[in-house]
Amino acid sequence: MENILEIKNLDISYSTHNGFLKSVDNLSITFEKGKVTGVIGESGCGKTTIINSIMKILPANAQIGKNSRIIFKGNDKNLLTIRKGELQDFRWRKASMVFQAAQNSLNPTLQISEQLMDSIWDHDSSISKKDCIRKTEKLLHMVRLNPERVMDSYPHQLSGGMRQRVIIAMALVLEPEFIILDEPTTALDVITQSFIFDILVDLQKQKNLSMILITHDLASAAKLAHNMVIMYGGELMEVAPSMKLFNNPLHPYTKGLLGAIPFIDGDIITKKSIDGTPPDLINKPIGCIFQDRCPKVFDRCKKEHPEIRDVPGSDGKRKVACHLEEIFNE
Amino acid sequence: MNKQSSLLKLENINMYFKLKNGDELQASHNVNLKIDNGEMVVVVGESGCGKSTVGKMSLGVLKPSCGTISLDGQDIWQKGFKWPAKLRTEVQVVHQDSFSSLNPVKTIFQTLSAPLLRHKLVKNKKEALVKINELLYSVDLTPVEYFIHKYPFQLSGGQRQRVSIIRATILKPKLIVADEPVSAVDASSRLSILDLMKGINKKHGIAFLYITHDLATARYFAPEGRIVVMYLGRVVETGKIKDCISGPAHPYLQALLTAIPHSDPQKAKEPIKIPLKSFDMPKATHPPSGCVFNPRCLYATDICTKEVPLLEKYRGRQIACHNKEDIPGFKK
Ligand SMILES: Nc1ncnc2c1ncn2[C@@H]1O[C@H](COP(=O)(O)OP(=O)(O)OP(=O)(O)O)[C@@H](O)[C@H]1O
Ligand SMILES: Nc1ncnc2c1ncn2[C@@H]1O[C@H](COP(=O)(O)OP(=O)(O)OP(=O)(O)O)[C@@H](O)[C@H]1O
Ligand SMILES: [Mg+2]
Ligand SMILES: [Mg+2]
Repeated sequence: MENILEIKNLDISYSTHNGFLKSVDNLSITFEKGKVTGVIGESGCGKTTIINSIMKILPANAQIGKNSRIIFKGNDKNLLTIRKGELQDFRWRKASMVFQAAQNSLNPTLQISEQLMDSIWDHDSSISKKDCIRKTEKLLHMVRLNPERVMDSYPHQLSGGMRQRVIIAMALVLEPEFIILDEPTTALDVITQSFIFDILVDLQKQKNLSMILITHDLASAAKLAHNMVIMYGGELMEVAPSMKLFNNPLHPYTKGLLGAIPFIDGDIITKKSIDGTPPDLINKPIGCIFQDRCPKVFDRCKKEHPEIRDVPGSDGKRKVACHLEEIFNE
Repeated sequence: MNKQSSLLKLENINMYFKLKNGDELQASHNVNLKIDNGEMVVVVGESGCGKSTVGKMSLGVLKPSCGTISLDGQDIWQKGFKWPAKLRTEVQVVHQDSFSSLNPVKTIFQTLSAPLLRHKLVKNKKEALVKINELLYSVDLTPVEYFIHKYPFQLSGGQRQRVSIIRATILKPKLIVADEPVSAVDASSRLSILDLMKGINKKHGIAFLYITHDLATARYFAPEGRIVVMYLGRVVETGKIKDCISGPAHPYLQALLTAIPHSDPQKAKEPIKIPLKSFDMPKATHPPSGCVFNPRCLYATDICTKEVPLLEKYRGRQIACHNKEDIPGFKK
């Protein structure tokens, strides 16, 4: 198993007028090559902060820990400290990104064809106009848009779902091997959502892309993600192959999340919210970050921070951060 | 009060908006909707189909271009009917955006005590404090002392929504219009907000008009209630939620239900074939002729491009489809 990206001991704090807000706390994740990893968690758990650190676009009040490392494809260089030139190359040629709420980020004064062609020319000024048009059309086909209809349109003439597909096409311009998607379908209708996920599943298979899918929607992540990373309050709770996670969630938080989704077909009687409120990241508690909301909390959880550990027999593919021994004894 | 009539009735409602560029947009097309006392009704459909427009008309904040809206049998737009005062207490609202619906410079105590005092439900501030303590306790905003003097920005989305719900119930309305009350709330806390509203319905007999794009929460919220499915300003299917969700009859509802993530992850991974001809929603300003769904419908025939289908009784519900008998049964 080869990794496309490794995050090691990532710490990120924001300085705020109430003190330092620990948005990512000693986080280590490996992302498998050619696979989709879903990063799941509630609003404010640090998902966007992580990928902003990968793309080096953190806001000025963010501080990265000294021991934090992000390593791309076994290369020794730490993305967090590489020079500008190398970064540019990584940012678009190797990795590209679809930002949260991106469907509103297209330039309203340019036709779709101009926006796509500009980004092709930006990176390869030698390409002829004819080839550039051909390439643009190919990209639009990939996201199942009809070039005839879309090329000459302005963004406001397209629906939200069509705009989002244009954004995905833009992320594919330089044929990256690695794409990060931050909530790619959140603002869209269910039919459009399902359609875009289908497109992404196809693209991923065809091109053997590695992807990070950031979302708070566990249910639709299952469609695309091979692996899942469950986060809470800037920390990892559970890492697992998707099917395993769905069929047998281990961490109490994962169980709670799955138990709070009212599926259209399942029973609704046993469904229930997770009680309590999100953690205070400025004054983090001693012990487990999930203790206040955990139905299984016991003494140790309030005193000692649970380190993330391998679940026996999982080949290192499954990890849980919890003091409950029963999780590791099965 | 007239016992025979429904609590709220929308009859043959049409709503036209004039747009800046001169286009006209019809957001409601011959909409009929009836809510009885204590009833749970859900309006679902995709963005822009006209759900909020129905909600706003039910609240009396938007006047329909034509058609009548009556509360307890009285036409609320009839001259001489004192609708604002009556409606303001009998029909209340919970919005999606709890941030902008709560006054940012008022504490919870200030927000909740104002209507109590204004409507003389309590005699003074001291009584208001006791009452608000009870109310916060009843929606699990505890410890109460901690929450009562907080400002909206100091609360999480779910907590703010609880405050909005209390505020909506304070005057003991007969109907609460809840327009996407949980779409901005974290998935892990949505059900508790829905549970809270379900409890209010049970305990106080307050009817709910729940507006959402999420069929799964619709089913959770009102398993015994009624559903109204809208598409481009039209009602395309309406009936018992149970019946319509387990056996959708209109091709549009079938497509919606197909697109929703399945609880079985193995099935969720399989490619979904959504029963639609096209994924693109037509422009609301230039709706297709005949049945507005026809360009996307797999079963459309000649008549569908020419004649508008009426909402008619069919298998224990009502649907608007020329070819209802020929639509294959729903399998997921
Ligand atoms: N520039 C900033 N300054 C201070 N705090 C910040 C800043 N950006 C984010 N935060 C805080 O850091 C935490 C993590 O935020 P982040 O945006 O990474 O969360 P997220 O998981 O992407 O949430 P969402 O699902 O809402 O997009 C939150 O508590 C947030 O309020
Ligand atoms: N005041 C207005 N002026 C012009 N057009 C309007 C106005 N209010 C609503 N519309 C249009 O009427 C249609 C229905 O809008 P409405 O807000 O009822 O939809 P909705 O179903 O609530 O959508 P959403 O799920 O996005 O909230 C839309 O096409 C909308 O753009
Ligand atoms: Mg985010
Ligand atoms: Mg709306």
